[in-house]
Amino acid sequence: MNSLEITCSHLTDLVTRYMESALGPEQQLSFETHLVFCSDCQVFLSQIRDTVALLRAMPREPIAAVERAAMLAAYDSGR
Amino acid sequence: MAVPATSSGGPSAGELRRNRHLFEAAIDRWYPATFRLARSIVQNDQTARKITDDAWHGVLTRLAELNPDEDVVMLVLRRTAEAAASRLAVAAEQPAVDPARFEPKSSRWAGWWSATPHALMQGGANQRIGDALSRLQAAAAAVVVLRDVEGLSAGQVQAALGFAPAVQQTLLHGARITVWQALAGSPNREQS
Repeated sequence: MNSLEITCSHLTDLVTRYMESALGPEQQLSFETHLVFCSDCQVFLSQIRDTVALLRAMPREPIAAVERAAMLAAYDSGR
Repeated sequence: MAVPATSSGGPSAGELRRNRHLFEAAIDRWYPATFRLARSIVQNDQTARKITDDAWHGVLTRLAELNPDEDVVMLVLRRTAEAAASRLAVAAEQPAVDPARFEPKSSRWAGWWSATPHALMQGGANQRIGDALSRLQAAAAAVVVLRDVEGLSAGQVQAALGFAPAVQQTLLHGARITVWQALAGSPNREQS
């Protein structure tokens, strides 16, 4: 294995740093080269991206009316 | 109306002082986010509500004194994290992908990969995500809630929670792997 090669297991360890653009140039090249040849890791990366998209789409509970009113009262009295 | 120039994209203290509508928009967007952050850390609705209220009230009572350029949302998020700081200790061990998934001779995982996680095919993704988030250590939960659920940038999360970049990336990775595992399932779980 040369210095540019990484294993599937190593790729899974690096995936978040890759998505956060936090890999060095050589690691990024290794990561992307591995992906070209490994369909399992392509699926893995796709699933992690789907996971982040699902987290982002989690339903948001709106602020309750009573708490909203309390916040506005505090704002009005402190402005 | 001026476009907010703060790092969170929310209004500055000066803008909030001048514009009640901006304040209403800010609490509609960011009070629930603050509560979600607090709940991810303390895992208790009542305590999380108190932390959230205290953080917002603490900032509102000082609104007139704040620097006009102060990012109020980031201030509230920082106060929320500080209120629960003792729970944000980072555990040494982080979740990782089972290396056996990539063993060609592993019969347990053979054929398990597919383009769509099993939970998505079966429905109930939000329930599985919620369960997975509740199992995370507080530090990892706080990072993933701000970064992925609320959509803050890596730098904003760092400013709110105070973790070093490498620590934050490790926490985020562990959280994403935990949630992914909950969605993707495993042969053992699906067969039981």
